[in-house]
Amino acid sequence: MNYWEYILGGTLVILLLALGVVFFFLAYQRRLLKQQQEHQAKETAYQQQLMRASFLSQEKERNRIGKDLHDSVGAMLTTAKLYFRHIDRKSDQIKFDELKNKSLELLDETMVSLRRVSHGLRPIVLERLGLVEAISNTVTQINQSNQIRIEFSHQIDQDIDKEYQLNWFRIVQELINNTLKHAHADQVSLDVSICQSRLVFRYSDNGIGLKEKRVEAGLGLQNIESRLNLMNGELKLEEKEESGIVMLLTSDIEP
Amino acid sequence: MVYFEYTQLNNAELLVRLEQIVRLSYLILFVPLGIGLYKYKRLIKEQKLLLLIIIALIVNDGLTFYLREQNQSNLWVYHYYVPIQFCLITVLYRHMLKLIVSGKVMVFIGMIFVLFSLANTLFLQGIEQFNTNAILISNVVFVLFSLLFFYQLLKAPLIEELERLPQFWINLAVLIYYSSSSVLFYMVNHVLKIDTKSLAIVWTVNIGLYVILNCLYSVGLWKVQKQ
Repeated sequence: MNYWEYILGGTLVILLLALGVVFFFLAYQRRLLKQQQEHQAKETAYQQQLMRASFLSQEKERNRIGKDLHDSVGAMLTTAKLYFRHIDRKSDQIKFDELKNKSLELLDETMVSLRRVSHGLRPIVLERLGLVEAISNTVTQINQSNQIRIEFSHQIDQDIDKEYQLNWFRIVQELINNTLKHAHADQVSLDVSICQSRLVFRYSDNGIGLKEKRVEAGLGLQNIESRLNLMNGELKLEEKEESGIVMLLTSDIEP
Repeated sequence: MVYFEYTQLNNAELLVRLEQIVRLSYLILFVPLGIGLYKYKRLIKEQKLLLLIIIALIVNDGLTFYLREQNQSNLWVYHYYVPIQFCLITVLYRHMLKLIVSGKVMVFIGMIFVLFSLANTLFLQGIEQFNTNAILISNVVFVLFSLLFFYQLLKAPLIEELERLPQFWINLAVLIYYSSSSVLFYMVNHVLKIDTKSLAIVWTVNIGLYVILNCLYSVGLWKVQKQ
């Protein structure tokens, strides 16, 4: 072989190596890009699912409020209107007083019903006394039914944002509601504390547990996820040796 | 093919043919220059630096060509040009590698190379010799820069259409030319002592790589990126 042939051979080898590096890089970059796009698509689908759950939940709540207003407040106002129509100055005093008292009673009942609906929208206990008292109040009411025993412990030494408190109260309501509806449990344990400026909530029951260990299981859990997302929070399902469910929920305590 | 053609020619004819190829290769420089000037207002910082590198290349090639025409030695020009080119390409990569390499490190590399180049001229390869040591070292550093740039691209948020990125083409040009031509430059002083045919073949290959470099530079200047 001539001297220059070695030189050209060496040059060709290096050129091929350089091209190899470029092709390897391009192929690797394309693969990463594909993985990233797949991940983004999954994330978008999940966010859409959460948004849908949120809309469905809002619609459900609107329907409930509408039904409450129609069935109780609306019906009572209609009846009160009928009584008012029959009230006549010319009628005898006894009948007049009877109709007047019935109308006033109906208006009182209407006000109570209306208060119940409005308290459902924004719980007064939560507004006035805070998250711990609101949960305690709910727990006490449920324990009085003697159908289920809820134990509630707390260790909160920092202020929690008002909006976050409402979110957490709704989460607790949703969890208890799920247990009452589906879990067939007779014992529930709630523990809430603050650790390193993060609210940590541990929820467990002795019911039948989740069929699938996935957070996407139902609308209720999706709502919980949506609320947690708003508070930079997360939900973890923990393994439990006996039957039932153990959830660990965490979030920030202020925006 | 080049070899078969060259075997038919005597040394004088070979040198004439080589001279023709070298002259033709100069023309390719005006392609990236023309694109760069035409699109100057829309060029990003890296492309403007590349344009400066091309202008330096044209000045160098013009000066060496003139000296050769005057039958004077032109090797001393490379002793000035190589450190200048190194500094310009290092400044270019200082911008291109800003996510993973500190600017101070790049300045330090530039200073070290200038000192090395000076020492090479004073003690190893004098002004009348081709400064292949400096060229080889600079080529190795440029190849490392280009590999680092690919590494940086993998670390940064992924870009969907990499081919639209001017820096990608500039980097590709640097990697392909400076890696492949290293062997040629390293051996050129030895080839000069052997025979004219070998020199003609080796130099023709170098010109081929040089054309590829300028084509890729042209693509790098043609791609317009939004600031």
